Amino acid sequence: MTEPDQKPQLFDPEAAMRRLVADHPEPRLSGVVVDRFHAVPPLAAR
Amino acid sequence: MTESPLIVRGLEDLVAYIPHRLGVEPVNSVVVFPTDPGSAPISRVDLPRTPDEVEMVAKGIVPAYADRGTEVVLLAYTDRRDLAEAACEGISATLGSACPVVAAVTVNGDRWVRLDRPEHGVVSQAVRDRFAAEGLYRSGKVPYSSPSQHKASFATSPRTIPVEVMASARAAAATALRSPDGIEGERAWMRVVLNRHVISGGTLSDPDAARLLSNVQNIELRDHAWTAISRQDADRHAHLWKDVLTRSPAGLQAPAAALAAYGFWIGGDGISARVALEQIPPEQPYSMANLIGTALAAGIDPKTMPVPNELPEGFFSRQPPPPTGGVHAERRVPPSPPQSGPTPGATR
Repeated sequence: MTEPDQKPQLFDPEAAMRRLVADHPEPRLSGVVVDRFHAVPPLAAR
Repeated sequence: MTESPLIVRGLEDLVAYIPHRLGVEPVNSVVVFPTDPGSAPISRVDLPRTPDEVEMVAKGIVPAYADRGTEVVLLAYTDRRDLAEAACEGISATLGSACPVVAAVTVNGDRWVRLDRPEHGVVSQAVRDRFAAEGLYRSGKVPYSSPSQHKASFATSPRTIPVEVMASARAAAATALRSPDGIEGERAWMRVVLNRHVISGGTLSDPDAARLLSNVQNIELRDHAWTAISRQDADRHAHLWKDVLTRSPAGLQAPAAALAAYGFWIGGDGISARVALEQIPPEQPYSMANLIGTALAAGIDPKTMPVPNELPEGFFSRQPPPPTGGVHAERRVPPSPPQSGPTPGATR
């Protein structure tokens, strides 16, 4: 088995996500659903 | 692959661009667009209709921009100018000077009218075509014509996996999961199938979709699929799992929905991530879905989520062994199993 094959076995994504969420304050319950679109594609505004 | 930046030159360009970025034509919505899109997210929210709703919407939107210091453009998609003005005024006031609103616009079809100065226009066909062509070139997709059409694309499709195929796959998965070799074999098979379909974008056969869906009912194999989602291919993984989700029999949707939601979230598509999670029946709580839902609600930037192929060299050799009890073991309990039992004698 190659190294890249082994990596996912040793990474616990749910634990990583649990830590990420725990590092942020509880979302403020505003009563509305906000859909957010974080930047992924390159884009420039002028 | 390095893509050249997509240039948005003014309000006409912006009105034409927004549906392609959101993946759906906004209807009765307010969109907050930062002029520096790398510093803060684009946000979409249902158009508020009362003063109380305006206040709630403003409070919901502002935390994502409070510390960013970026200028924003507000776009209200409605044919009601009074609602557009009330929403933009309320949001502008709450954003305050830390996040100046450089333009507030109401959009109705191809027409846009600025609310903060006497200026209006119509998106020309040439501009629409330019962004449609850019969208097709960059993502191969065209936006849904309405939020309801977008939501409907996540509903159970007529191509649901046949009962007998699903039962056979469930029985085979149950057999494979009894031995380490069987699990390793399924991991290897998943790796090949996921890579193939992420690269080709092709549709899974019924047996392959059933086998994937059966495997991810197991948390270890679900995590294998989860860690396979890289940032650059997140959107392709999301659409693969969306396809599996829409073909999933009742009771088995949760892992596919959560994997689709994660892929959409990592890919920056908040609305699709939310709608994917909505496909999980409320009576079927699923911890991965809850975590993604919390990340969406908190507005966490997906770029802060560690992804295995981006972790530094040596990271994996430093990982402590997993605990043998407590919360970690507790989460290894699989989600609600389906009611149908394995089919004796089924092979793959």
